[in-house]
Amino acid sequence: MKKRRFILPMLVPLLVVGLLLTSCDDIIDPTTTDPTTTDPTSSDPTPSDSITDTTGDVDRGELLRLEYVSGLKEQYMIHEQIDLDEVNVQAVFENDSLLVTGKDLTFNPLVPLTNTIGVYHLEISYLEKSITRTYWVVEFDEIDNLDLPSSIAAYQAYISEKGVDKRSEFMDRTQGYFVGSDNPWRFFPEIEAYDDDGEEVSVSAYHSSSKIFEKRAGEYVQLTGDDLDNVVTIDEFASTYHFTSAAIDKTYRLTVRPYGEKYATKAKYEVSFEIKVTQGYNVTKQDDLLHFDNYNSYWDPYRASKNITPINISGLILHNDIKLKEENIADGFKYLEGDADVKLTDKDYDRVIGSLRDNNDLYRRTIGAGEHFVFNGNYFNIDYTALPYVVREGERIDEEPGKVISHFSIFKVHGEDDTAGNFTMKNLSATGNANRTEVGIKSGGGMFLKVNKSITNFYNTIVKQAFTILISENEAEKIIIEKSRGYDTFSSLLYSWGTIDFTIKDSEFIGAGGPVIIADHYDHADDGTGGYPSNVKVINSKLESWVFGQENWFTLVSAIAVVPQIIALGVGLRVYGTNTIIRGGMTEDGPAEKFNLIGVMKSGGAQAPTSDKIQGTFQIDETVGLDFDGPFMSAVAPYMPVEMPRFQSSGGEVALHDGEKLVDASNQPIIPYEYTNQNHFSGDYMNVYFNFGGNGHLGIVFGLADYITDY
Amino acid sequence: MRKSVVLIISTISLLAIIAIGLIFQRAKIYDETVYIEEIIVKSVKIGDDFFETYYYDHETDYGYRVKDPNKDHNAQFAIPYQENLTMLIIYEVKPETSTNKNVTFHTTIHDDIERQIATVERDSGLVTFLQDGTASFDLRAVDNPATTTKIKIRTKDFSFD
Repeated sequence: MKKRRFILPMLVPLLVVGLLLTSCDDIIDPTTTDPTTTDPTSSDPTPSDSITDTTGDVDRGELLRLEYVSGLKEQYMIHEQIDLDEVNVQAVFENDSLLVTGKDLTFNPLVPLTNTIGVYHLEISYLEKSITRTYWVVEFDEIDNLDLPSSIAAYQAYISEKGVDKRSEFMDRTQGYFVGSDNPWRFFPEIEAYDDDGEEVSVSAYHSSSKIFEKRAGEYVQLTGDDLDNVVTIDEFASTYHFTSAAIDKTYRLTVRPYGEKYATKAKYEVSFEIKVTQGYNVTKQDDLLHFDNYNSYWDPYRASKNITPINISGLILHNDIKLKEENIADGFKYLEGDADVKLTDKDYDRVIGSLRDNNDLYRRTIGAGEHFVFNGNYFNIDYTALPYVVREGERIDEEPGKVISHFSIFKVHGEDDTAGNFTMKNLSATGNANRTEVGIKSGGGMFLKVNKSITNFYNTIVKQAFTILISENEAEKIIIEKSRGYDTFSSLLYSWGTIDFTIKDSEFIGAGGPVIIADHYDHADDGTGGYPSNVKVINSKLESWVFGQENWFTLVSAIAVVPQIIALGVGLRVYGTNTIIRGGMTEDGPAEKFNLIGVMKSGGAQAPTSDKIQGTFQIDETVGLDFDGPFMSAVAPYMPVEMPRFQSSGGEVALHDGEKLVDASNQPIIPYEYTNQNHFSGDYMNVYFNFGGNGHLGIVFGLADYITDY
Repeated sequence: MRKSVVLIISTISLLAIIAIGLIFQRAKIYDETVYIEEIIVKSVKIGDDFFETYYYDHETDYGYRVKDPNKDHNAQFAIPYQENLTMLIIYEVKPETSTNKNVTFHTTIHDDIERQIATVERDSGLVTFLQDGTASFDLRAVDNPATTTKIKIRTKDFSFD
């Protein structure tokens, strides 16, 4: 026992020394220049059985082998590019394994070949190990034909003439297809290809052969050599065309076919398309819209997470329908679990998580003085039906849905400081998430466009199912809505929040949950002066919004109490003619009166109806318009009782109610229709000035027509 | 104005206020539009025969195809081409309660007629092949043209085989 006690301690140091001696050859000194040393960065590594990967301070041990994981196909079409960044290889070490992606691998050849048909071998190396993959390059067994890209097919469908239902037809279908010069544009035809079994082959890349023709004095002239290089850079494998500034405002015809003799002659192997080049950034997906936004810091972390570098663009052109998805919205726009202003005990907790924060604009742009930014939809559609809703108006917590008036917009344009820029949005359709409905949560739907401090042209658009299509704010100098259509909104179709020149021309707006237009006098004094009055001008346009007065909007703005008065007025007007402001409608509950609510003019300080003294005008064509300071209201200003409504038809006839009957501006009784057989009021509209006890009036523009019923 | 008329107006107003207060406790839309959410191509009718379709979903292409009746898996049918071959696209929409169930039919229009494989009548979906080849047809909801689906139809001239 004593001997063992002595021997064992002696053996331990001997054992240690022995271990040290045997491991000596395995120690790598990274500072030596010994060629046997394995340097992972060397392009010519010396094979060794004892390489240790210490990447990230992890000792994985010896690299045993590489195993191919993914990223390469067995078969490529001729001229198809192989993206080596997509290659993944599993590096198997003694103690661990590591997934290595393309950028950390080396390849031989550096650029894999696909230019001729055949069998190819690609060597993939990591550290000192290699594997080889084999792929084939094949010809299309059969191309039936080429066709225009599916996005161009959509464009052609959008500009086509519609049948009887014109609501989806653009009023101006002649603008043409635009391509921006800020970045490359991809034109990739549909290649209808099949293998020798007749099975469909999806072609994602091909070698194209392009011709560019410039339109000069009505004739197309093919560009070659320097003439071609001066206007466009073509990547015939990527199928992209990057036009230069020299091409701006010019028209081109692009003709492409697959490269190769086999496809050189037949007409069905060629496609051709005419484009116009303009300043602007070509947009094909939702994330591209980020370049429109030069204001919201909410987007900064989102951009960083997706490696999107902001670009200063001069305009924007769509080349696809774009469906906005919630996953592509920055977190800052939403209420999320763990936010300081969200608690489990909140009455709306089940609805608020994931909802949008009110008073924000998803894509907002500040426009500088002298700048004219053009947002050209190229007739494509922006769809935000899948967007979340606003659940909290401001920061208010409601127990039940349906009480929110949303202030969230998809796009906003704001002039810079004290100067007004120019903004044009054109050739675009949009579908929103808040149609005219009973569903209360849609009161938190998105407005499509807000403009402030800019001169705005909203041209040739079609927008449906928005909370409100467009709101023009108090410092907006001028807005013209031209050749545009709007339908089916939860709230008003349009809103002027103190815009001094709000013009609607050659347009059609039908079917709001409330009035077609709300026009506010914002920030006025008690005597109705100052601030920002609204002046609405309607030229050659159809405005219509038949409502029963029970729609969500009336509840939201506490206007339900006014409805019986409106209906009563409509009934009363029938004493003085066959025309009136109401019509017999049919509901699920039976017959009910409805009215055509064109415009509401009110104080911008209130969401509910008030009769604060305000200014503003609502002019439809050359008819007599609503004008709080016009000749009629000025003449009858001293008349009492001021609480009774005042009537002014677009044909110029006027009336007041003296508590018992209608009288004219001279306080003379108006003779009822039964004695005259003549309508007292004429024209298509009735301006009514309501007073609820304030020192002014609420102005409402109704449609005026002969009374009929829908049943 | 006669006092009776004033009385009638006042009575109607009062009754309306009461009725609204009692009955219309919540907002009500009586004519809400229900939009098409999905368009499904059920079949293609050639003569008196109906040919099934299947949905092809690939990273770079998607849409309906005419199913080859001679194969037991989903494969695109190469319909034998003959001059002035016509066929009808049969579809249905969801939801069934859609206010306007109509769709329009579109195919690309080439500036050179020699490139045009087929035409389609906008409202009926009647396709006419001008030459053999593959053509795509979009079906778009009338109430919202951005709601769309697509079918590719292939015809082949087997007389050259």
